[in-house]
Amino acid sequence: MSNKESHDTNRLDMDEWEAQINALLDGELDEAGADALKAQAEADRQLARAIIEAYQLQQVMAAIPVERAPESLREKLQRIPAEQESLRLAAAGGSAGRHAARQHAAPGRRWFEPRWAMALAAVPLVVVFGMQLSGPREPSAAELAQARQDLAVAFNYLAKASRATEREIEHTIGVGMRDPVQKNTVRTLVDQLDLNEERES
Amino acid sequence: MKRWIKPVITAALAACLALPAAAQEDELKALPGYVDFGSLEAVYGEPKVMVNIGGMLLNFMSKAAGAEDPETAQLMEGLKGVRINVYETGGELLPAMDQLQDVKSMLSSQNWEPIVQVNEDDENVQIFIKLDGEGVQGLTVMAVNDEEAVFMNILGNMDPEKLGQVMDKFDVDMDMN
Amino acid sequence: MSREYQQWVRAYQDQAWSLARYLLKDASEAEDATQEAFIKLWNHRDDIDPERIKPWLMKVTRNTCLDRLRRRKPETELTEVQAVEEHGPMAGAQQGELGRWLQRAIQGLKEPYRTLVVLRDIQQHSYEEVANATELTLTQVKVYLHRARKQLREQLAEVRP
Repeated sequence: MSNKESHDTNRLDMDEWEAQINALLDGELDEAGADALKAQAEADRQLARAIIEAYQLQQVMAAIPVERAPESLREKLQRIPAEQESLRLAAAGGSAGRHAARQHAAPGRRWFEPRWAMALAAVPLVVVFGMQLSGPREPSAAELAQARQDLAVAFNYLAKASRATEREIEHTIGVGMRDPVQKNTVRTLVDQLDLNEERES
Repeated sequence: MKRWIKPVITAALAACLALPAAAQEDELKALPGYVDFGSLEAVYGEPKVMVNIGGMLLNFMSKAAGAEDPETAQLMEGLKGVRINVYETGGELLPAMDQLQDVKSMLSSQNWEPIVQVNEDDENVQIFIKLDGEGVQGLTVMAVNDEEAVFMNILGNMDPEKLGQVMDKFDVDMDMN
Repeated sequence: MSREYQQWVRAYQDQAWSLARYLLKDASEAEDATQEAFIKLWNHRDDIDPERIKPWLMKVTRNTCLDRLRRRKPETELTEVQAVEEHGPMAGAQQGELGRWLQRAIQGLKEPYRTLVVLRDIQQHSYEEVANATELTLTQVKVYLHRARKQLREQLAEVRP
């Protein structure tokens, strides 16, 4: 086989893999197909690497936040029914449209009440005064016991979240590649984009 | 008594009673790993779990563990705070998912890095970490499902791989590696 | 009906706005396009199957953005592409901001790749919803998405040490 033919064959394999990797990550591959690909990846470092890279890309993309619409747009979108109705009525020639438009344009309710402003302003003073009175002190045994219990509760939730993500990784790309992905991910965070060493270990 | 004085006194008393938690929260807000999760109380009511452990308590806990378990003491020494709010969603996911997305946007703009996430219709889990030149500054975990919405923030310098070891000491079945 | 509309706004405004931002790369224009799409939603609310509001809205948002892009002078788009190029991919990678680099790389993709990646990989819509929103067949969505992801991975491989 010539070099070119060999290259083309590899390329064909990679294209076939690419399609299968995409299907695997999207959960579109049937169980037998997924198992076969995962088994193949156990023996083929290049394939394993391609799967891990694709999975990591998928994870980074999924982590990109959906940008929050600006407040100005949110307000405009909420006003659409009133504005459209006003336009509709105005177009129909009735005076109701103008009335609706006037109602809609009326100023919002008053939120600034001096009395409540005073009440709110008084609270921070009391807090500052209270802090000076209490000062730093050693926590009691009961407080420490409570804190330990609280910490256990918090860690239980952390463990639960971690198990959910582990299940997701196992389900998507298989147990065999779970650890490399997690190690790589931590490493990515520490070394930014330098993933090569971990992948090949 | 004028009508407005009563609420003022009530608010002031409430502020005094809540002082340790509020003071701890203020102490944590200044740290780079602090995350403001906002509140979902208006939608779901009071959180079913609300934990707010500040650096002082963790420091004492670290010292208390020191003699018997130097490893845990050392690991905990770096922790500056642990905060968690858990709300019961009762199957109403949208408000919690909205909040999660908002916080996710905020984390992204503040250079938090995603570790891993699960994006399913009925479950969403996001884990982020904050790094700077000195190491890890914080870990954020958000999880929303049919039953609950969890917003968790661990502050301080920690080694994610060793965090699992500390969790073992707290009888938590977990392996971060 | 107004209450239902407000629920739709709350549920989908961020997704529609985000898609418009990726497509138009201009906040002011994205705001106008999103508003236009929601006006159409309000005016056609009785004709749309409530189960298909989301793909309908994403389709209309996308089409509104594409119309605006077509109306733009060719050099406007070119300038913006150049601006994207100047900021990435290497600049982003050097800062270690993988997510930000990727956002810029996605903005550099051609249509329909850009929409497909935004809808499927960032906003996590189902394949069926993506197909409805883009008016492509399921097979086309899969094939194009496969190509888009491959392009992104190849670009990523270039910036990795």
